[in-house]
Amino acid sequence: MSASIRLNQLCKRYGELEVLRGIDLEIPAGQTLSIIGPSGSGKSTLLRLLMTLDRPTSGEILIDGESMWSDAQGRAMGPNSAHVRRVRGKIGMVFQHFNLFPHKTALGNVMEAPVHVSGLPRSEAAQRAQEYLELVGLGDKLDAYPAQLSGGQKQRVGIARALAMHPEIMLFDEVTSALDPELVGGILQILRDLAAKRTMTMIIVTHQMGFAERSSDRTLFFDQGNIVEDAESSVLFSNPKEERTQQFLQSVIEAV
Amino acid sequence: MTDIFDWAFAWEILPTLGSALIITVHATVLGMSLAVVLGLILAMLRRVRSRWISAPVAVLIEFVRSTPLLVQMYFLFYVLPQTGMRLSPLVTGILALGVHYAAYCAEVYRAGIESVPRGQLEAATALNLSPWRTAVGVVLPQAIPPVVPALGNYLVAMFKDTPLLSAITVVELLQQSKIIGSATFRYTEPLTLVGVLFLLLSLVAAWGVRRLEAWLKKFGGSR
Repeated sequence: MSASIRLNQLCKRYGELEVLRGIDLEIPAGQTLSIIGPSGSGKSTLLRLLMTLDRPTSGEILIDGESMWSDAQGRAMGPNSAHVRRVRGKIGMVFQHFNLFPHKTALGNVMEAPVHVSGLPRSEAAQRAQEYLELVGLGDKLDAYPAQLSGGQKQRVGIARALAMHPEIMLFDEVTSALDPELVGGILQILRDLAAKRTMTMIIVTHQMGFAERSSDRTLFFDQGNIVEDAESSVLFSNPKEERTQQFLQSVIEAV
Repeated sequence: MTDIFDWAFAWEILPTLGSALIITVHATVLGMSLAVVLGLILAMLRRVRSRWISAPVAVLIEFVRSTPLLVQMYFLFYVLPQTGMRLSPLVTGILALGVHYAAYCAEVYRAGIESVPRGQLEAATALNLSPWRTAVGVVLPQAIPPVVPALGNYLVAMFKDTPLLSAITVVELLQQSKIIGSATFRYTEPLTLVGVLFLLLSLVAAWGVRRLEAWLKKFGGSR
């Protein structure tokens, strides 16, 4: 099952700094969306807002038509309110720097939320955790601590940990940026397989242009807190309309 | 003419000092248990979002840290009974030690809690863990191991502060040695033994803390 997302005039400001300047966006359920753009353009902030890690300064986030930060009567809700926790429960996130719990094994990391959020019995949670770790190719590392894993393996645990909560929306925040180049391909392949199943809405903030072009339905180009261009991935990369997008893609190609 | 140090006399008073030492150890163990638990509670209350809770707790911690333990001990000893709470001198002393060191432990815990990277809290939020589970399952297991050495130092410091209990009539190790001294007019042996016993137990405590530290180390590591 997947959920749709709608953003209405979403703004985020940190003091004087305006990071997102009124984003309007509609993402249908099941879509795989890539977000590209220079650093500081607000793409990661958008994911943080979607994950409820931050509260918008103004504007609205709707998940399946339901407002994230206010209840049906329009009352503002706190980050630990039942309402926000229920909406948040539909969303999972994978981080650039993994953020695994260092005091727990791979299995323990993946089991944590099924046990303590969903209330599954430990045996059932362990079974689920094992399934997802196997799915990401870590069936032989169940009892390894994060310190004993490579970056690529840690990120696989991070993906399994988010998947184990059966999210309807998955957010990937530069999940290959902290990895050694030879480990990037494996992670992208997992993302590709997940996208192909179309069981979740996926938003992928990435610097991997090839991945965005070939493996996502749609790509947004972000710059200075605005969506500069929004198009089908194949179109955005082969035939960018905006000059700013062309410049960015050109500079990325030159860097490679 | 007697020797400066009479070994036979020392041997003779050892059992008496030994039983006083038990009081001292007793006070330290219970006082420290109170301090580590109460300190943790204070540290967590201090981080509560509501200022109505966190601000008074911060003031309390600062107040306890900035006033002498002996003053606090006298205060509890003379003032508590007036409020109707009748506690034995030993219990009063343990309470004073525990509260005093809890304030120090709270600051230590705070440093440990603040050293847990933000990413850990973000991961906990992304997994929809409750604030309680985030504290108990994510933050504290990472915050406490690094501060165990600092807590261990306070254990030894508290142990060495136990002679203050004598001020409120608890017959602990030092007080017992003074009693022996005033009865026999021999102070060298009892006071020397007190020093040696404190030294030995401090070393044992430090060794224990190091073992605990080594055991906790295996839970640390990269994220």
